[in-house]
Amino acid sequence: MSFNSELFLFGFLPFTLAIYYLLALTRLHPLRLPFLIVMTIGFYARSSVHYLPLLLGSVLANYLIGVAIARSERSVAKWWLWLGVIANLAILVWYKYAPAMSQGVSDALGIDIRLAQMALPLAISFYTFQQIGHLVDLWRGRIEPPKALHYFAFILFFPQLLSGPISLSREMVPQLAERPIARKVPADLLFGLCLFALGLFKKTVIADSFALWTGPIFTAATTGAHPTAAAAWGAAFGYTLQIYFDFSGYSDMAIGVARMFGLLLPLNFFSPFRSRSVVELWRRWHITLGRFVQTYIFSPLAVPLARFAVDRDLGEKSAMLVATLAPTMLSMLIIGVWHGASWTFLLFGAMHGVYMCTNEAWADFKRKRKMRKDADHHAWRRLTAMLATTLAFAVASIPFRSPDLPTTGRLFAGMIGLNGGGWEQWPVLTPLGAWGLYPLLIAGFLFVYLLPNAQQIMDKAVPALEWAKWRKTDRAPIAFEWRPSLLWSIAIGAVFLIGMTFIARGTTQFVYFNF
Amino acid sequence: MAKKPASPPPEALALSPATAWRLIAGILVGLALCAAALVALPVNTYYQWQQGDGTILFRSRWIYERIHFDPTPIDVAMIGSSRMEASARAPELSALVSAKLGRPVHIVNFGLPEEGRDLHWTIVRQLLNSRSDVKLIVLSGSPEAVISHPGFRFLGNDASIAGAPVIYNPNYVENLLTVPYRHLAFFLQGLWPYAFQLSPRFDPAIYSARGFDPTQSFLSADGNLVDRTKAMDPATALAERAAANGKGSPDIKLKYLTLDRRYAVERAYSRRIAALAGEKHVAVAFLRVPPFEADEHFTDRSFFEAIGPIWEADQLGHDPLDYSDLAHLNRRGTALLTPWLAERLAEELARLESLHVQ
Repeated sequence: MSFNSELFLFGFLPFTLAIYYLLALTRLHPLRLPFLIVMTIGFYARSSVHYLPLLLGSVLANYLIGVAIARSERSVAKWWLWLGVIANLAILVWYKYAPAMSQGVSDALGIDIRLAQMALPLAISFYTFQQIGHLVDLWRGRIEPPKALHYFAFILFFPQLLSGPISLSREMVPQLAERPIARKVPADLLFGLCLFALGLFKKTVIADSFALWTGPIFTAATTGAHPTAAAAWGAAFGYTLQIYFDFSGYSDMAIGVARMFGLLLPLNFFSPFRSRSVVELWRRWHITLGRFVQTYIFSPLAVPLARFAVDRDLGEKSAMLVATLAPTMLSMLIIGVWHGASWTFLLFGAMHGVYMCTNEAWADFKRKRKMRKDADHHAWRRLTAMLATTLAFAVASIPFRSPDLPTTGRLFAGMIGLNGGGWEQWPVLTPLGAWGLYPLLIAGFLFVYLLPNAQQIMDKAVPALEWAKWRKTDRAPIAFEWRPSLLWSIAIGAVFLIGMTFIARGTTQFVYFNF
Repeated sequence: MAKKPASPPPEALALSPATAWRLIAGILVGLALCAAALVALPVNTYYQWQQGDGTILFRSRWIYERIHFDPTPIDVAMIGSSRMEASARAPELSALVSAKLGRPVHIVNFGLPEEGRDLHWTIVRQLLNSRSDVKLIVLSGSPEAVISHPGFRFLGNDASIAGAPVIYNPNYVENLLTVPYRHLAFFLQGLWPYAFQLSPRFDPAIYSARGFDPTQSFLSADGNLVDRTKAMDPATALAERAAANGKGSPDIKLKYLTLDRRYAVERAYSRRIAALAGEKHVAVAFLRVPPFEADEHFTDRSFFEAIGPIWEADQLGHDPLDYSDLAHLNRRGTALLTPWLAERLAEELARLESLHVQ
């Protein structure tokens, strides 16, 4: 079930909220979390009933392994941790990568050991990472093992189950354990509703509008067409904005729904295209995945490699290469293939790896040359850095969206002018034809660069965990905030209605549901 | 428990429950005001009926133009799903019935793909409220459908959509949500009609190009050939049907609903058609062209018989050479159907005339 479906908006969400608070605010409160778990099971089964046993089995197994880690001697606990991590990764690899890997091996060795293509279990990438994080935190002693009910409610909390944010048990379990306070409920519903309305508008009105143009261009390239330069660049920037508003909208909606239940989720998206470098962009785009990779992949790699560089007395450049660039590249490759078993995702990861390494090397170069930092604060430098970052992302969005490398190649060829110019031969069926896209792109980028994001608008609501860290970051050139006034309520109501009614146009599935 | 519990939102604006509820009510007011403002935007029905362009419903524009811009009389309108579209050879039926009655009779085929009596109601409404020459409406008769027609939410009028039965109508909310959207879309399209490939004025060339007989092969709006000359391969087609029947489970809740609730859309709009037809002194009949080798029957035949006669072409349905696929007749099939159907139409028109004379 998707947040942008009528069933969710008019059936599942109001029903679940009503019963949840009916239980939570009465003597029946011990039933509130079991009810939430049952509803999440229904929510998941609606889209992916076949993989429900896998989800429930995974949660149960991870809970038990977590208990074993907490109760065992450290030397034994380590083995439990390894078992848990390997089992989680093995399941992820089996469902997500085994068919593609078997195909590759079959092609390479000339023997047929291909596995049948399986449907990807919904949300597997998200709940697997969440549970690995939980096991590692238990082993590191950062958390105590939670009660089974709280652990199940944490993993099976439907607002974050399908596409994140990838929250940590130490963030969510204490909140879930706490019984809601009656006088806070109306405010939580209000704040959650506002965030949800803003997210829905981004998804159905903006992201889905870009999909009208980008879909036909990518489809045409997939079937062998050679898009012109204008079409290929239009597809790159159009898809960049589509996925931006799609994921940003989803994250706002997830945070909003959780808030309606009185819970704060971690921030997942914070105006990444206002970043002045790719490194900064990845701190603001899919923030919780970046945090996971940083905590559980990059740091465990970088720290021993840095020690290795010191021990071996490597030169500056070699130390930089070993301790910073290599783990950075590897982390970005992992982020790339986390999206799926495809060469295109690997290329996407590799491109971002190269961007990041270049970024790191340049920062190092400036540091050594003692280049003036205040120069970076000049408006035109900030603007060019921001535009260059967006451009870099847009170019890498081509392999991200393409189903295969030949499609990527045809679009890249178009972008460098090998397929000729021209406007009207675009394969677009959309009203306004090809001419509609570029004005829409301009409007979309103005929206991104000039306006505050949903969290900034809802600053007074403290919209996410660790908001204090973010609230002063990068104020938008045109800044405004929600206020508790009737005018604002009416405006939010209008935004909500437009977001809902645009579902009727034919809304697409959230991009991140595919991962 | 965790060593460092996640902190609650200490700086969140403290709102009293009463204030928060008032603001939530404000959101609902904003929602209603916005909906009202959008619905107040004018709709050009000609643009509305051009929304099918580029889709399988591309003939909807021709239907509208035939009703409103073509003065040629319409004596009989055949209205229904793709089964009707593929079955009624309107030009030949017109010629045969005219010959039988000794005067010109004009028959039109207003069949459109997909099931849904609500769209048939929309076409009937356009037709009977605009023209007084119609004598008979022939609706497609097939087992009662549960769903709303996917084109209804764009072609139906606001009141029909809002006033549709709610139980059991799985498409009610989706259809209702479309109303403000389409007002906005049609309004914006009206500002720049050419940019949206819409015709502000009737174009005889477009009308003429779309006025073909859909029982003959034609190119659909998506460029695919709808081939009425081919005969299906029964083995493949039946295997496809078996596979399709195996998918999904029957909707159990329907069993517990009364027939008026179970087939709410079908029955409500059939009644509306009957009422409007009665008001305009137009007769209604049902034509059931059976699919190939299908055990097809009405759950409640008497409901339809109370509205008008049911003509069932059960002589067809057994020879795969008569079908282009499981559900649709090909040219060979319609060649067999046409004289039989012309007989029924002529008899009914003669009966109506005699009633009129009396």
